[in-house]
Amino acid sequence: MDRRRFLKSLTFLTAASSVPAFVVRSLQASAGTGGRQLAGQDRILVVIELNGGVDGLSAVVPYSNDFYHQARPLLALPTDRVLKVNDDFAFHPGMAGFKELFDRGEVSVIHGVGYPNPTRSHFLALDIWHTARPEAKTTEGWLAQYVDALPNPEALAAVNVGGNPPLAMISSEGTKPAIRSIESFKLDILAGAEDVDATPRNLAFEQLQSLPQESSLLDFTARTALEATFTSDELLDGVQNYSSGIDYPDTTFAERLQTVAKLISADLGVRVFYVTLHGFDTHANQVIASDNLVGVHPRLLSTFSDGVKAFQDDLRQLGVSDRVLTMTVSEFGRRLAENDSFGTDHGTANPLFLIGEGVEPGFFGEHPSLAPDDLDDVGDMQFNIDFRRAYATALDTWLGGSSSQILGEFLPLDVLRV
Amino acid sequence: MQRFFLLLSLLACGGSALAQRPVLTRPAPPDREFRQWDRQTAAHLMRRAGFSASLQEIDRLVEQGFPATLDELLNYEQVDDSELEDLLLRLRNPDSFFFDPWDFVDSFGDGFRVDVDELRQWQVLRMMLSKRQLLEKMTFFWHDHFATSIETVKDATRVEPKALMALQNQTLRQHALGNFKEMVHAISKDPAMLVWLDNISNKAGKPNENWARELMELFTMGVGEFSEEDVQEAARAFTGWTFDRDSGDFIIEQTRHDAGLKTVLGETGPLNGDDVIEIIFRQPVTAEFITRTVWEHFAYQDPDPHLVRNLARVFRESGYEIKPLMRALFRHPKFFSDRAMRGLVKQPVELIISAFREVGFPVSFLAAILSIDAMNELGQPLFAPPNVGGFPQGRAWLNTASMLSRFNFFADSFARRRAVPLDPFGEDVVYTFPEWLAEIATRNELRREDDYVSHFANVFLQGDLSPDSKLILEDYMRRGSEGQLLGWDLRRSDADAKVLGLVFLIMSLPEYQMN
Repeated sequence: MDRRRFLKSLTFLTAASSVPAFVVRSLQASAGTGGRQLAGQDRILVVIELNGGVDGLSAVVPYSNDFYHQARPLLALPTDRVLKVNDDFAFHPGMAGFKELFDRGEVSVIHGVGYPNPTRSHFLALDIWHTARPEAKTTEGWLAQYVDALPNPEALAAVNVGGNPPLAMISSEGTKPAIRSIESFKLDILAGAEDVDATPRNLAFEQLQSLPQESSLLDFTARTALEATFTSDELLDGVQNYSSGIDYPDTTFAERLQTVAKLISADLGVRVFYVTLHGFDTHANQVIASDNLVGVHPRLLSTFSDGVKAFQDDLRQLGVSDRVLTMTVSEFGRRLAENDSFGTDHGTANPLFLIGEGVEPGFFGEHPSLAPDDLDDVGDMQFNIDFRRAYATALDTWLGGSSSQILGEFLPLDVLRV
Repeated sequence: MQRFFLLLSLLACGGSALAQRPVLTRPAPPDREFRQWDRQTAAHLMRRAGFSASLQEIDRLVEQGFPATLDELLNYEQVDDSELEDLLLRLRNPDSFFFDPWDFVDSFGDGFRVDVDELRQWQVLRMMLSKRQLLEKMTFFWHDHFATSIETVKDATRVEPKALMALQNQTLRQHALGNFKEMVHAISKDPAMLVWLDNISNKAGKPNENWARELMELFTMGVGEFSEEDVQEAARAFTGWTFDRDSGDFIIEQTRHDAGLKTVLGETGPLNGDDVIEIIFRQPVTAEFITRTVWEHFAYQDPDPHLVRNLARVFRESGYEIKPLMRALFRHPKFFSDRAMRGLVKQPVELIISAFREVGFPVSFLAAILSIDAMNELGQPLFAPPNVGGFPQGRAWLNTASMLSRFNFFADSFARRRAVPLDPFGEDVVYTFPEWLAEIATRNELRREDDYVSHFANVFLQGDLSPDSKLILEDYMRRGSEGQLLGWDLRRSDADAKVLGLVFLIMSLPEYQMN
């Protein structure tokens, strides 16, 4: 007997508080009383976090701006090497794949995104981007709240592809599932060996995890355990038919984007994905001394660009590219003026990318002024567009939800072709 | 209860037709107003002040009493740990990397040989085997607090990163139960930290703020207690602080140091880094911030501000001595409260080390290697926290991916047949887990299914097993491979598998995921 059938035989136990509601729904669905409705038509949002604070000025380069060159004698990129898009802006030379997407009309760059009274603390800033509440300390993630409010959300309505989920994917209703890779997402009790005891052991396992618990923490733990075993079965079944002609780069980031593509192709009802690319906190040695096109930060930008390019190509081959919008977030940009360690300190406003066939391509909004008089007290750029307007665009315009409960009242940006 | 049994047996023969809802009994909350020094409280103390303990060890502590146990934990200098030191000495690389990291650097030249696992094994064996459990727990705690990752350290310097991390570990252990202010002074001059937070490139004219910011935000005062100007001014005070790449000694490069006037937290002068640290320790908020952090890691989350203030006073009045703070914490009635007992999520490192300590399985190299793999898989690799904020806390450790990884770790380490060399040097001795379990059964005269359930529940949960869970586990022991009722008998052909399954099921319980 497999685990799914065990769960079915457990239907009677669903009075117990631990059994997640979606398990019950799913059991009812497989018994013919409902099921996933038109999942294949749902739009999907992929959020990519560039963790550590990406140096936006090195990604979208204001190459003809004198203030940029003055403030960055060592880091300013050579004008003849950057990938020019118009008279004012260019992409980093390492972002050829991304430039290709831009030329294909699949990228919208939103200039100068930020929020009032910005913090330079990574941890506070991340909390703010994850909860969309700069003014109040809360532990409700913005994406988790969106999914919680869906009518009958699937077990896998939101998935963090990677290790520990960010606060954006956590709410008082729980932490959204995390999947490091399809291969590792399975219960592997007796690999290879004949498991004679599986039937009674699985039964006992489900019973134990379904018992009422004394505290909310224990209850949460038991629910997560059931969810884990349940979604593992569903997912392993679902991704069997994925195949791809796209050659993803050999990076963890690209591997995670490919996992997203697999999960989309499996049509499991995931509406929101979260993927993080770490390492952007480059106070020192952002580039190497002998060549400012080489180093940690350029490598990360290439990792991002190459990964996203392969992902978009894969989505196109899978025939789902019109249903997927990808958005980047980062806790802050970096200071206009470089420091003396070939690096940059924590800053404020940053460009934000929207990627997909549904975007209005090009640049949107006004780039913050780099003139010394226009910078704030610390020497940082002033934002023009509140990041919550980008969130509202994703939640309202793209996913067709309602963001005001989560964000407050923010107008979506007119950057999508929907 | 009878009704519950009925349901179980119906279920086993296809009871899905059952429409009636079962009434599952819920145990009355035990009286936790007055806590005795018993197995449960002693085990709680050992899970927090150490990495748990075997039943045998817990019974010894119950016997010797709470005050003696606390003294043993705190006055670790008086505890003989020579067995461990001898083992580590025997395991030492002939080049002896640990105690002379700089010799090690020389012998490897400029090449990066990042076999950090060797260092991890060393640390894991200490946590598993040391009789100075609180010292190791505190060293681990401070590693999380002053979170430094070898992943960055290795990118930023030609010096062997393992040596730098080993040196930092030594510094943390040296001060772990000493004086916190002295520890901060030592860490401010620690090569790995100087690399990690970029102070080696902090110089007059264009200071690098990274270290100055995290010193205040994460290591001493907490966010919101200082201004951006304080960060910038403090960064100036630390300009020129670096270390000699050949000797590893801390140095101040005077040509890169900004000797001008600075104002940090309201105090003005030609301040250097030491002055800034002294100023930080004159802020009352520093004692409170550290006390809160310690409480949240050793007792429970979100303590009452009043409680924190009172403990912080003890801390500050002692001149930031760590021992009196820890003594006051462990003696606090709230430390044994309902809210504290199994009220923290086991971090992966705690989960893994304590599992090996609880089963009392002869610890071997294999255990250390399994541990390191499992820590990586579960997202808590030693010496590589995800960022300067340290490892995640609480519910962040519990998600579907990590839950499967936990279960797979239990299965892989404890519920699978595996030949285990008893000792890294005793190559001929091979042990399998079922054999070992059989030995336990004989030694403890386990016969009936409830003997087995009670015994292993005591080993892993020290009595914290609910009556309903107990019934399900006993029922499990009686079932055959098709779910039919066979009754338990040690001579059953699948007896080994049943005992392994029992261990797996107990370790998978929600209670076991809690510390």
